[in-house]
Amino acid sequence: MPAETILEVKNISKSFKDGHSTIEVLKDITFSIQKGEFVAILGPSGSGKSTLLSIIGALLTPSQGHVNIENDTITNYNSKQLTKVRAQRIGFIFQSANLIPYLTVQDQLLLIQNMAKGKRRSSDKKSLELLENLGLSHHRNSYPRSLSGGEKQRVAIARALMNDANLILADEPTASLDSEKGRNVVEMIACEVRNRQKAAIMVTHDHRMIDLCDRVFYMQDGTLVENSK
Amino acid sequence: MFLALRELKQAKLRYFLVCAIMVAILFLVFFITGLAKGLSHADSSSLQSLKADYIVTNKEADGVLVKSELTPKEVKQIQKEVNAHATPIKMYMSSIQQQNKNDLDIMYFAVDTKEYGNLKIIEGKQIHDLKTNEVIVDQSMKQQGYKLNDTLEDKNSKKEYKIAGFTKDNTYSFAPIIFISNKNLNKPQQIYNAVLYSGKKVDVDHFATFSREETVKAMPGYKETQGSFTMMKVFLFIIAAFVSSVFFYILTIQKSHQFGVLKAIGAKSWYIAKGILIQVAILTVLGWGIGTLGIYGIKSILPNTMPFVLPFKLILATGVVFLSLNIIGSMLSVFKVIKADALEAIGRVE
Repeated sequence: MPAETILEVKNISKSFKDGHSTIEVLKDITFSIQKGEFVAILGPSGSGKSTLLSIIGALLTPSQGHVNIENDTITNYNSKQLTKVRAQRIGFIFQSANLIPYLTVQDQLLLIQNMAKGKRRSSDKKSLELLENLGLSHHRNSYPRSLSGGEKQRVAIARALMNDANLILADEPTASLDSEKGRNVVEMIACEVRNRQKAAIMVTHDHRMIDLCDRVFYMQDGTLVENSK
Repeated sequence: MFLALRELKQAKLRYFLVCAIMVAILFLVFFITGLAKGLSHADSSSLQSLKADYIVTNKEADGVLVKSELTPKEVKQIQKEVNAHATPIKMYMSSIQQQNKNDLDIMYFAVDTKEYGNLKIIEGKQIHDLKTNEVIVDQSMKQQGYKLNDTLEDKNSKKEYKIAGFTKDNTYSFAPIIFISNKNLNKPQQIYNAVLYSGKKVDVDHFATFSREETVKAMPGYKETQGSFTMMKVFLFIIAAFVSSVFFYILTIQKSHQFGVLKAIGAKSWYIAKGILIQVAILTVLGWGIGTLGIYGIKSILPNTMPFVLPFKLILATGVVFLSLNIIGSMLSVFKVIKADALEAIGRVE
């Protein structure tokens, strides 16, 4: 059985106006990701990684080219439809966990369900199971301020999995962690991606993590090159 | 709801402070409203309670009833012209002799007791049943110790009258009204102030016709007093709306990164804005509730003689206006939420 394609990026370009000149941040990028794959995109800052991730994450629209998520082309969606795509088909993990400060760990997950007007009981069960998986059960009623950096990032992983999206996008998830804790977090993402058969993209500039990923891309001056491991 | 309640619970102090400001302002609004209404009542309730839709006076009085003078002939002429059931009224100040106390200033309303409409009687006889030497007085005289069947002695005429009934809402310039039969008026100077009638407005030649509200507003000093109170209330409302709008606006600006994150993970602008509106509504209603309790507490310890009238309807209306203003003010924050950018969440640290 051929692997299922979750994400397909076709000939993506993105340029920004900077005064009178235009800067081309992304140049004709094409790649696709299958179910169960964990992909890393490496590159120096300013190379366009974040822009690419924003386009895949339905936060920006490309100047040219198409993004297909589970065979739906989202490129021509309006902002309302894009919001729905983010809510239902993408799980985000941000640079610093970006948790909501006044919500308990479990409420961070229930928020996702509340936004989607989901049923409380099933989401209760689901959130508990996710927290258990990520070793956070005892922190269920804690607030983000009492968690360590690594724990916060684990909550963020759980939150990204809460909507059962098939595509997980991680924006430098280890940026605010030391290397040991960072590795721990990436291991967890990799483990969840494989167990749950998701597709995941991690943007990072940390080369030490790439052995945990299935494929590695390098981004330089707006072009993407796959690096066979 | 999910976000709004949890945030209120977590940041109690912050929201308590803004709620306390609202309570203080609402309390002041209630107090001023009650005082304005109380003063207006003590000043003019007798005019507001007049049994008539329209009041005809002479041209020179400019609606000030006590300044108007009508001869019996003129009264007859007006009665003929308005073509409705019309009855004359004579108003005059006097005072009641009291033992061991200062004289009590009062106002007589001398009317044709058979023709005049029913008064709001709280005790004793209705006006139609009055004998010539009997009177109906405002209940505020009870505070001076008067009871049913007591005898009053007018200081000027030395005539004596028996209290046959008590009515309510009948004071003029803080003086209680005494309803008396016009048979007590001295024939030669039977000069009336106005003719009262109900029905359509009729402009009578050489005379002026006013509605009850117009005669109230024409009272010397009435508009000025009430206008000042209204100005104070309006300013308090504006201040309160500003305080709450600015408070929520600053909070919103502080949280714009957080809102960006929420949008990035799929929250609609309305979902976030709804949370702010719910918070504004909860704090306003809570402030209104505490302010209401406070004003009733104060009202219960105010002396009876203090002019203070505050019907619950007015408190409720104040609350509705207050809530609407705060909701309108919070649109500033809602607008900011709509503009919060989901891209903020990507590629930068908090």
